[in-house]
Amino acid sequence: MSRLPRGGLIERTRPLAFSFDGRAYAGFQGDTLASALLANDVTLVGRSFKYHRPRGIVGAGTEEPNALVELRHGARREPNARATTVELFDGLEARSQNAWPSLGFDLMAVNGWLSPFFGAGFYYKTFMWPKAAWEKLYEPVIRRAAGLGRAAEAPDPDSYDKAHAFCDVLVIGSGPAGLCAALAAGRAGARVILAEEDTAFGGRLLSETGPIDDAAPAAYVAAVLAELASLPNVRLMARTAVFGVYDGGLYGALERVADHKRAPDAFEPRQRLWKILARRAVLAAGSLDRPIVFGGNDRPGVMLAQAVQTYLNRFAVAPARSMAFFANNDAAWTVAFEAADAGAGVAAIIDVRHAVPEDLIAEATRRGLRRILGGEVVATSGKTLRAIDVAAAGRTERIAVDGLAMSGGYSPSLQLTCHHGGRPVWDAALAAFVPGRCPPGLSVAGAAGGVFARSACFADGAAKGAAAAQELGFTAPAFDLPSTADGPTGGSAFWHVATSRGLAFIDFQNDVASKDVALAVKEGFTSVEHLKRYTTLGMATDQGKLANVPGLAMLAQATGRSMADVGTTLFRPPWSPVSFAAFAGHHRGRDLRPSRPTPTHAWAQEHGAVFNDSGAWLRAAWFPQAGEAGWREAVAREVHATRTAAGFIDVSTLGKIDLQGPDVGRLLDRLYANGFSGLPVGKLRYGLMCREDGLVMDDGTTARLSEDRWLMSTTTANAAKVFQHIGFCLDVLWPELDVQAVSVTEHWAQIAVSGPRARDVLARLVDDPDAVAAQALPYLGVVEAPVMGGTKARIFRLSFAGELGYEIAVPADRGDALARALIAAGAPFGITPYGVEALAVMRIEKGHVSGPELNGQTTAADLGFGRMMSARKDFIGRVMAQREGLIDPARPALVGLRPVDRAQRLAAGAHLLERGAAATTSNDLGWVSSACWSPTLGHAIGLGFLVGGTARHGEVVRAWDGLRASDVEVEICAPCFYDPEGARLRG
Amino acid sequence: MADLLASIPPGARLPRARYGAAAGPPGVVVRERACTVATVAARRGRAAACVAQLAALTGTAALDSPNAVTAGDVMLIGTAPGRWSVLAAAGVDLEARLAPGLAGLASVVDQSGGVVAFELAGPAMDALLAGLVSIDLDPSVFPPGAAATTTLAYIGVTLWQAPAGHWTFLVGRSFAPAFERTVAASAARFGVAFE
Repeated sequence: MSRLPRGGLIERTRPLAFSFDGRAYAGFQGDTLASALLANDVTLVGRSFKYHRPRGIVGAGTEEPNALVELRHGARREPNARATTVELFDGLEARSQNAWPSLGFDLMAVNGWLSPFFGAGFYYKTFMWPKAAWEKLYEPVIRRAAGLGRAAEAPDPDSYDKAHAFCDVLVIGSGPAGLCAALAAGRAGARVILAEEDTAFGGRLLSETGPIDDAAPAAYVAAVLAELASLPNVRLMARTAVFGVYDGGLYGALERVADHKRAPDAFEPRQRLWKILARRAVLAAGSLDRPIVFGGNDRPGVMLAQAVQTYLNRFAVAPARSMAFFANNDAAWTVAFEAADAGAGVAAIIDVRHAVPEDLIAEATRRGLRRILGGEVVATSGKTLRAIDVAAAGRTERIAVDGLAMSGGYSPSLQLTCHHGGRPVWDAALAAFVPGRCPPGLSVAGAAGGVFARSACFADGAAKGAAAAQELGFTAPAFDLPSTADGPTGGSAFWHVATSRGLAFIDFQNDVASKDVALAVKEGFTSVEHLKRYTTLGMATDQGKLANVPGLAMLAQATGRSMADVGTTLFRPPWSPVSFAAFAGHHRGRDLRPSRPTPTHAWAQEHGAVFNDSGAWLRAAWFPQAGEAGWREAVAREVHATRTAAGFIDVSTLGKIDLQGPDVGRLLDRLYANGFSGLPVGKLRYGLMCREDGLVMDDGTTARLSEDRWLMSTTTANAAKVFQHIGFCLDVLWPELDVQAVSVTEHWAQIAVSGPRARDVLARLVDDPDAVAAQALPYLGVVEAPVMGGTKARIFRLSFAGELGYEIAVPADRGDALARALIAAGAPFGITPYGVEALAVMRIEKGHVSGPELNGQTTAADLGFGRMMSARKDFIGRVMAQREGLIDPARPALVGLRPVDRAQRLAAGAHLLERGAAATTSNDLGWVSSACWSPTLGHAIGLGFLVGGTARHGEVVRAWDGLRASDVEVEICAPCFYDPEGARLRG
Repeated sequence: MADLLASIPPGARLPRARYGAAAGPPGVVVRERACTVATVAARRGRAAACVAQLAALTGTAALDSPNAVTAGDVMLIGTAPGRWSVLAAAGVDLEARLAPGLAGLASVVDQSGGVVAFELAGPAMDALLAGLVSIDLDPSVFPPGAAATTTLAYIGVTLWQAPAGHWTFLVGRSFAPAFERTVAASAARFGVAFE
C-alpha cells in the first residue's frame, strides 16, 4: 500500500470496496479511482491507442490522457472514463480497455515493435490500394486494433435532465482566484454562480500545503464556502463542468448528478445539462503542468509533478516508493520537498537548468535530497517504471526509481477563451500561451490568465469578480485579501530531450511522438493546422490539454520559428467530454419530439387505426378490419367505400389561418400566384403560393367568410412556415397592410366527408338540412351552419378525394363527438372512415399534387398550373419565375404514368428513361414522384415529372429503379386518372 | 425513468395519477383549468386605442406588454405587441362578447377549442421551472403578473404566475400530451400528481 499514514482530504473512516479488472481493492470516500488505484500500487492502467503500449496515470484531473477505463457493466457500461475524474464509490467496477487478451499481456503491442513504420500519415499512405479493400479489410482491422473502449449495447437505462440558470456573474473554477472572484461579486450583491468541475470546491488549494491566514488551505476554502453558502444571491454548483461559451452570454455546463453512485437513485437523473445565461463570467480554471518530451516518457510511473502533489496532499497517496523529479522550474522542487516531508522516497531532483535559486538548493540540502542540475532524462526502462537514464555533465547514469515526476512548466487553462474565435497569445516570459481576445463579458483570473503566484491569484480573482459586478452597476465593498506565502514560480522554457532514446511522446492519448512532428515537418506540414491533422496531435478526447504546447514547441524548433510565429490551433467546445444523452435529455425514443394527436385520435384508436407520423402529427393511416390480409386490402376497401358511398377522414392537421382586416384581399393577391381579392363572400378558391425565387412553396384553399374575414388553409407540412411567411410579409414587406393573422389550426377540428352519399350524411348532421342543399352550398362554397344540435360549425364544399365532398369544421374539443356523429349519421349509407393512405391513393387517382410534387424544386408551370400565374397583378415569385432556367421548355413537367403491362407495379423514386437507353445520369428524363396501386382502376398508377412530358401523352418510356431493382415500361398520360371533367365534384 | 412513460402511448393524455417519487406530498400538482380563450389582435396602428377599449370592456388594467392582468372572471395576457390572449370562464362566447366593442380596433378570434390551460403548483415548482423554461423567472426579473410566450421542449406556451406559486401554461391542444410527458419526466424526482 502506498497510502500515506496521515494527511489528505479523504475520509479514512469511510472505506469503499471497488474492483479493477476483476480484482478487489479498497479505497476511501474522497478518493478518485486513480488515487485509489495508486494507493493499491496499481500503476499499469491501460494500453495506448495505436501502439498498445502500457500506460499509467499521468495527471490528476480532467486533463488525463492515459488512464481511460470502462466503468460498470451491461447497459450502464461506459467507456473512456478518466480514472482521475471518477469519484470512488462502494462497488465501483472498472476495467482496463483496449487490451487483448489482457492488460498485462497485450498481443496488439506488436504495433509498438512496428512503430518505425507507423508514423504520421501511415494509414493514409499505406491503405490507399486497392480501394475496395478499405471498407472490407483495412478499416475493420484498424478499428479493431485501435480505438478506445466499448459502448454499451443496450439502451441507457438512466434519465438525463436539462436545466437553465441565470446570473450576473458566472465564476468558472474555485481555486484561489475563483473563490475570491465569487466572494467579491457575491458580496457586491450580484447573482453569482460558482461552477466547479471537481467534486469539491477549492481547486489547487486542495492539493497544496502552504498556509493561508496561518491555517491549512482547506480551512480557508471551508470558510469562504461557508460565507458563499450564506449569501442568498450565490449558487454553488459542484461536479459541474462549464464546457462551452456560446452567443449572448450563454454557457453550457454538465452536472454529473449521479455519476458517483452505482446507479442513480429512483427518478434521479444521471446527468444534467445546464444552459447558464450569464451577464459576465470570470474564468478561473487554473493551469496544467506540462509533460517533457523524452524517451520512454509514457511509461507507467511517469507522472506530472502537479499530479504528484495532488496525490500526496489531497489523497494521501505516494505514487511511488522511490521517485525522481525531472523539471525546468521551481514549483516542481516544492512538490519534491512535500514528497520527502510526507515520507515518500525522493531519489533525485533533475533540473535542466544549470542554476536554480539558492533557497531551493538549501531546502534540498536540508532534506538530504540529491539534485542533478543541467541534467536530462534520456530514457526509461521497465514495463512499469524501474529505472531512468539521466545524462548530465557528459555522462549518463542509471537511477533505479519506480516513479518519475516531470514538469515542463504550466499552461493556463484558457480553452474557454477560444470559443468565440479568440486566439491565445504566446508570452515568452511565462513560456506559455495566455488568453487573447475573450468572448464578450468574459474575463480571466488567476493562473488561467498566466498569474501563477498564489497571493496574486487571490488578488486577481477578487479584482476580476468585483469588476464584473461593478460593470453591472453593483458596488463592490473593499476586499481583505488573505495572507499567504507564495511558492517559487521561476522556470526556463524546455521541451524536448534531443538525445532521447526510444519513442518520446508528445500526445499520449493519440500516440503522437516526437518523430511524427519531425516527419510532418519533413513532408511539408509546417502550419499548426496541418501538423494537427497530419499527426492527430491534440485531436484526442483531451483536446491536447497536455500535448499542444510541447508539440508546437517542437514544430517551432524544427522549423526555426518562434512560438509566436508558429501560433496555436484553437480550442472548441466542449472543454471536457459531454455525453450525447445529456444533450438529448428527455427527448429520446418516442419523446424525441412532441407527438401531436388529432382531435379524433382517441376515437380512431378505438376503431383500430394504425397511426403514421406526419411531421409531429399522429395521423390514422388506415383502419384495418378483421380478415384483411394487409394494409393494401384495408386501403382498397376504404377507397372503394368512398368512391361508391361515403368516407371520412380527419384533416385537422392542415394549417388554418384566420385573416381579418380591410386589406386581406390585397395581401392574398400578393401571396398567391392567382387572384383572390375578387372572391365573393361565401366562396373559397384553390391558391398556389410561390417563394420569392419563383418556385412553388405551398398550396391550399382560402375561403371568404365575410367582407373582411377570411380563412386560409395550408398543407400540413407547411402550416407553421406559411404562418411565419405571412408574419414576415406583414411586419417587414408591407407594414402598410392592415391585416391580423391568427393561427387557428389548433382551434378547429376538421373532417372531410367525401363520396356520392356525402350530402345525405351531412344533411343528417346539420341542424338545418337546407343549409347544405346543392343550391345553398354549391361546389367551392362555404357556410356557417350549426351541427349536432347547436355546435358551431363551418362547412366547406370541396374534396381532395375527387368526389362530392365537404369539410366540416367544429371547435377541436368537439372533434371527437363529430367523428362519432358521422359514423352514426352515415351508417345507413355505408360510411367508412379512411386514413391518409387511402387519401393518398385517391389524390393520385385524381392527379392532385401534394408534398412529393411540391418538393421545392417545381414551378407552377411544371405542375400544370402555368395559367394560374396572374398577369394582371404582382405577387411573390412572379419576377423570379420568369428566369431562363424556370421557363425552359425542356423542364420536366407533370405527367401521369401507368405500366404498359398493367400487372406491374410502380414505385416513387424511379427514374424515367427512354426505352433502350442506358441508365446513366445523362439519359435521365425525369422521375416518378408518387405511385400507388389504384383499386378503382385495378392497376398501378403514378405521377411524375418528364422532360417535354406534356407533349408526349400516349408514348412509352421506362421507369427504372436501381435501388429496388425494377425496370417497368410506362405509358405517359394526362395527370388525372379519375373523373377528369370533375363531374363528381360538382354533383 | 424511461419506464415512467413507456406504457403510455405518445399521443395520449396521461392517466390522472401520481408519477415518479411516491414518498411524501407531491412536489408538483398539475390541474387542467376549464376556460375559454380568444386572441385579440389590434388593427394596424390602433394598439393604444385597443388597450383603452379592452380595459373598458373587461374592467382590467389592460397593458400592451407581457403581463397577465385580471378583473372578475376575465384575464388578459399580452402575447406580442398589440396582441393578447383573453381568458374567461368556460362557456363564455368571447368573440360575441368582445368583437362588437372592438370593431375597427381589433380582430377577435376564438381559440377555445385549441387551447388547454394547465395550472401547476407545489413546493418543487422553482426547480421544475428551471428545468422546463429557458427564461429567467427570478422574482427580480419576472414578478407575479409577468407573462411570457416562449417554447419549452418544442412546445409553444404562454405562461404566468398568479397567484404567487401557481403557474399557468397555455398549451395548444395537440401538444397537451407532450406537455404532460415533459412535466412528468422533469418532475418525477419530486413526485408529480396529475389531478
